[in-house]
Amino acid sequence: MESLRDIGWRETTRFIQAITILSWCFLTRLRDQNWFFVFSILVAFSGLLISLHHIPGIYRVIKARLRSSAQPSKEVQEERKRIASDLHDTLGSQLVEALSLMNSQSSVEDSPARKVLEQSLLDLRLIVDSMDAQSDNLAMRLARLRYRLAPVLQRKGLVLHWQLTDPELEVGLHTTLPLPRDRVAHEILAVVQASLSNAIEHADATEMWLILEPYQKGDLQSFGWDWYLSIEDNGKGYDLRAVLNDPSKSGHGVINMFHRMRNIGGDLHIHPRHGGGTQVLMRWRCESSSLS
Amino acid sequence: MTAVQTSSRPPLFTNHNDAPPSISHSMWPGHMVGQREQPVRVFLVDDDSHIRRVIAQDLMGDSRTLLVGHACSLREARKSIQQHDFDVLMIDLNLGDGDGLDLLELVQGTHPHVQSIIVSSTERDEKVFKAFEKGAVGYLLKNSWFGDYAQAVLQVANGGASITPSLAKKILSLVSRSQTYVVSASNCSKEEKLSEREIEILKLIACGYSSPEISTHLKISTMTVSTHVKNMYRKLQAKTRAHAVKAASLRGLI
Repeated sequence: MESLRDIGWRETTRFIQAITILSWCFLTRLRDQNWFFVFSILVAFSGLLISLHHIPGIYRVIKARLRSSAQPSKEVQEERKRIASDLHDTLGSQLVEALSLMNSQSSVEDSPARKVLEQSLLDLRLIVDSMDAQSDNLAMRLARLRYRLAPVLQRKGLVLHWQLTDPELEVGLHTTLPLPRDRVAHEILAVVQASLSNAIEHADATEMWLILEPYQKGDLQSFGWDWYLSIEDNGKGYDLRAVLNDPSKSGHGVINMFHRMRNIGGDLHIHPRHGGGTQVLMRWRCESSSLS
Repeated sequence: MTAVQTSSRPPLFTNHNDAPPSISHSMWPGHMVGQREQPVRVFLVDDDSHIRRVIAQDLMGDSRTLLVGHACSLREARKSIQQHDFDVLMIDLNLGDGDGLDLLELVQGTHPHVQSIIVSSTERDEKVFKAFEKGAVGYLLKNSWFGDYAQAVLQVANGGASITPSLAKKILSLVSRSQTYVVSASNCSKEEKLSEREIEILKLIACGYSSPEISTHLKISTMTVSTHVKNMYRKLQAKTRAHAVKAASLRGLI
């Protein structure tokens, strides 16, 4: 919000600029005066400063336009859905059958091959999920993710505690700040999937907590962010520094999580959870100001 | 509204689909449908042979369910269902030679007591929503972790119903649209109007909350949540029927 003083300064400068330009046009006597020449340069310089002040705003508008024009067309989205569906139907059913055949042999209950198949099925389901429904808001996409993960969590004996705010449905905390959609929601969901997948497959956790909430006005912990999404688990935790220095796949995965949040202007913190385990905290600002 | 707390030990149902938990056969209550001497009879229609084998294996591995027949196409299913008596129909809507919705309609006409479960790879498919309008009460995500099929059959056979977040949101948008544009609230008969509690449950489901969480939050049993879901489907079907009748009368068909 601009203060009255800023508006006063800006309008005064514009008035002086207009007077100077008119003087150059109609008061020919002043053109020969040195003081008027210096004054005109100062006025032009002030105009330049005001223009520079507007450049970040113009840059943001251009970036937003480019982003919206980069949205895939309806045909491309339909094609993506079809590919996702084909992938899921063909590969998915064969994976399920392979797992089913292994299930009939009790000796391979915990075999590495079985774990690889289970992981492949989980990854396939998450890929299909991210290709489907690009336009849903973040809460809906999280809800669908939970629905898809429910059998996996049940099978692994994992309890997922769920606390979610959706202003569109008036569930959870009251806020006028909208939830992200499209690309921003996609990037956040990818980080959520990676975090949950880590907790399910590697952390040996028994409980997980997912919280999606807006920061309330005056909350000292917000530091200018609008929303946060926290995923905690009570697993064995991990050394972030060691993982980041590890050039293997897991190191890349965590680096990608940071990249994704940075790409949408958000931030990511991964740190040990109080009481054991890991907390992954994502924070971001809204692109538009309010729902209403 | 405050956030819902998760119950780590839900009273009866455990998963998001509101399905009965994996109770061992000996612990299965005697008053429930699906006893060893009288299992729930299932007819399966799916064009994917892998999935048919997995579902068949799961159903035959549970003495409370019995697979009485299966078909791999719409044509074969049309013939076979006339020759079989069954309690639950499991159907993939995208069949190679036609639309599973047609078969669903046929079964609703010829076997009105049959409960139908949709097996689909996506819950956002428009056909899934139409299937619920046409009387389906169960939904299974295709290629889900196996072990869900027999439970899903027992769930619907015992009067339960399942719902997905996408479906809940779709019903909510339909409700708000019909109240705003299509049919004014006063024109909605009591039979097809959703109650405040039902809308509240739909909102929580659309936000990903599970049945045990909703029951804890609203201080009702998971069975009551399930009953509300089934009532919503009944109203959805009534609304569709009412709209069909209205549209037909406007066109001068009746």
